[in-house]
Amino acid sequence: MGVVFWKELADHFSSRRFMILLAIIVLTGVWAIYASGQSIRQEAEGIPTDFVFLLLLTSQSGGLLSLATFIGLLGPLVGIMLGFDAISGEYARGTLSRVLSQPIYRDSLINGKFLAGLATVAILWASILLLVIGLGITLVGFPPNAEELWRMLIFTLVGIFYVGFWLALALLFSLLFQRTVTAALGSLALWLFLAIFAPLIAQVVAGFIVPSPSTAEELTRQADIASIISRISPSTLFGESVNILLNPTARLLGIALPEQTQGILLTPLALGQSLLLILPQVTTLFALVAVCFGISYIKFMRSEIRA
Amino acid sequence: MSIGLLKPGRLLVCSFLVSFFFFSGYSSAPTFAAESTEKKDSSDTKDSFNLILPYKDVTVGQGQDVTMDTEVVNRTKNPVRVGLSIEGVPSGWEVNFHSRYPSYPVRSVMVQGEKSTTVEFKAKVPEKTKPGSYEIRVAAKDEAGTTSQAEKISFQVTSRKVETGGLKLTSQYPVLGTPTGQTLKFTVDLKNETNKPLTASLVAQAPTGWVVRFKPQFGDTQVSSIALKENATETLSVEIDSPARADAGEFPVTVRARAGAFEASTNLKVTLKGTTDLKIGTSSGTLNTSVTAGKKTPVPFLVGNAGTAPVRNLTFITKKPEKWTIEFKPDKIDALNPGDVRELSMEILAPARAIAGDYLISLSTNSPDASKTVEFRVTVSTPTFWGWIGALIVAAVVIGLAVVFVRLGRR
Repeated sequence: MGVVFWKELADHFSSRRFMILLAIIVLTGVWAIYASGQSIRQEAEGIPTDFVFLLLLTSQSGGLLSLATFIGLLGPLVGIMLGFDAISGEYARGTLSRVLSQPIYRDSLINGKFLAGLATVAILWASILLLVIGLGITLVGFPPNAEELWRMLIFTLVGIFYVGFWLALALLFSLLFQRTVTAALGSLALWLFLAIFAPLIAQVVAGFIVPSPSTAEELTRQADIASIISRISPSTLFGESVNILLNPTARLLGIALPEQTQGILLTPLALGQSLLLILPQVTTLFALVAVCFGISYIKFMRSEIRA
Repeated sequence: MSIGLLKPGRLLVCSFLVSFFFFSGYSSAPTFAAESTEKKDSSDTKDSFNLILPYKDVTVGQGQDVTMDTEVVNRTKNPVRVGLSIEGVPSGWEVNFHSRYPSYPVRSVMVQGEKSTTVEFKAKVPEKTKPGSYEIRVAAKDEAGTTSQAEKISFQVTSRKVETGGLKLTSQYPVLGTPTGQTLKFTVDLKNETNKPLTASLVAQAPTGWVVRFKPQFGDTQVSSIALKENATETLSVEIDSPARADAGEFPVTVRARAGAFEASTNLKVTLKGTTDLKIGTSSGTLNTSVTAGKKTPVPFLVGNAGTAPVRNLTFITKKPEKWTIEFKPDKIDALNPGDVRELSMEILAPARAIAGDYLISLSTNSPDASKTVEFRVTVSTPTFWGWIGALIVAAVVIGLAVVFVRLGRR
């Protein structure tokens, strides 16, 4: 497995498309951090903000998407890019049987490929995190505190799960469709549907179920239905997790009833409480990765491989 | 009011005839006496001067002073020098003529032509003098020796002190009440009933631990003495700080004013009511606690009375978010004596669907005697039940994956 893993990792890092994607992410990332860092420095003259480093990730300044949203948008592309030709590409080049004729187990091949993809994602994500911390320290002049570090670390972990899901999905597609292009297009189509159309469809369906809400209860119910439906999309799960993780004052997904917010103080939530809030989302993401990869694994192990 | 007060003062001077401050033309009775002497003497034109001692028979108490203004009148057109001597002074007495402002003992005076000079006759009666009748002779002789005059003054010394007017200290509201630890403000009138300006020093006698300050009626400067014009009244405010831990009760405070031989005092009384000072808090001193949503959590807290009066029928009222319940065990304290501390249990139940975070609840005590409000910060955390379910799902997925690996691996 080690052989496959290192070979795949080397392939990923030397491939041109990875380089292009990396360049886009890093450049945009640096620009986003710089812009938000500038605005934070100006704001910080008024009220000192807690969690400046989390703000670096989430603030939308300079007319750009925030870094967290941006990574959430590009992450699936990275995952799909790393996985869509994992098996189908070998088929297309006719190299799969040649590889398997070497003293390499079949499960080592798929495990190694998947783990190499995950490792690439992890390295990418960790480098973005280090970039944020490094640039952040230069911009604001003090290091992040433990709470911020923990939240960023868990954000990275959730992000790896999220991209891992798209990696596993692309891997599955590359097994299901023998042609590389079909696998790529299938993954991209599913990504587009889940990331962009699923929330819209959820809104429409919620509007059918609770038409023209007038009271606070009805409005809350409609929003709840919409968010429950849109949670079929991993993008929504990831977005909600990031929102709670990187914004310690956020304490609820969706809309709260007025009676629930009575007497509440806008203090940051403890990390444990934030984690409890997003645990269903993270669990689902993890399960999705595991299930997707499990199906791919079963499919690959059972498939007939000829030269 | 001050004109009305002048009248009894003048009556005092006339009726007791003890100490006389004679200013010509001011007090009518002595002037009349002086004029009659002058008339008698004016018929006898040989005299070059007249010595006018206004009072000849004086009643005085032991240890008191007798002063009177004596006039030497020149009846000629030329200045006359008159020598003054005092004879028959009882032992221990101090009797002298004094010049007026500044006051020096004098033995002779120079009087301008057809004018008069006033000197002050001063006799100090010692404390040890036996009551009885004493006589002092005053002799005056001019330089030329043409005229000599002798007068006798008899003193009736009594053992009782004779009222001489002087200072008077009164308070319109001599009894005031306050809670313990507060500052009281009395107003006293200090009156100079003499015909002389006086400087009075002020002292106060109070129980230990009490602080007494004298201040002018308007103004914030602390004074310890005050200058009074003749027949003037000054209003002073007396500020009294009661000690923080004094028991309830009545406390006398004596205020004294003293100017030379004059002394006046007035008794003030402070009635202290007990204070109630409720203290609420947890035993650790913090005012926060954390509860889990949907789970009744008892929070022990202490109620203490740091005041000096008991608090009765103490109940609790809370201001809390909707659907929360807060119960107290016990929910009522019948009486909380000074120094008592009682431990209670506050049971907080946040609804199961409460949002995680910090909430502010305010806790008020309700009693006819005292009230106190404290704010509690309650950190609500959501139950970890669903967290465990999530962990179980993760574990199931991992086990499923492991089973797949084992069943299908190594092919």
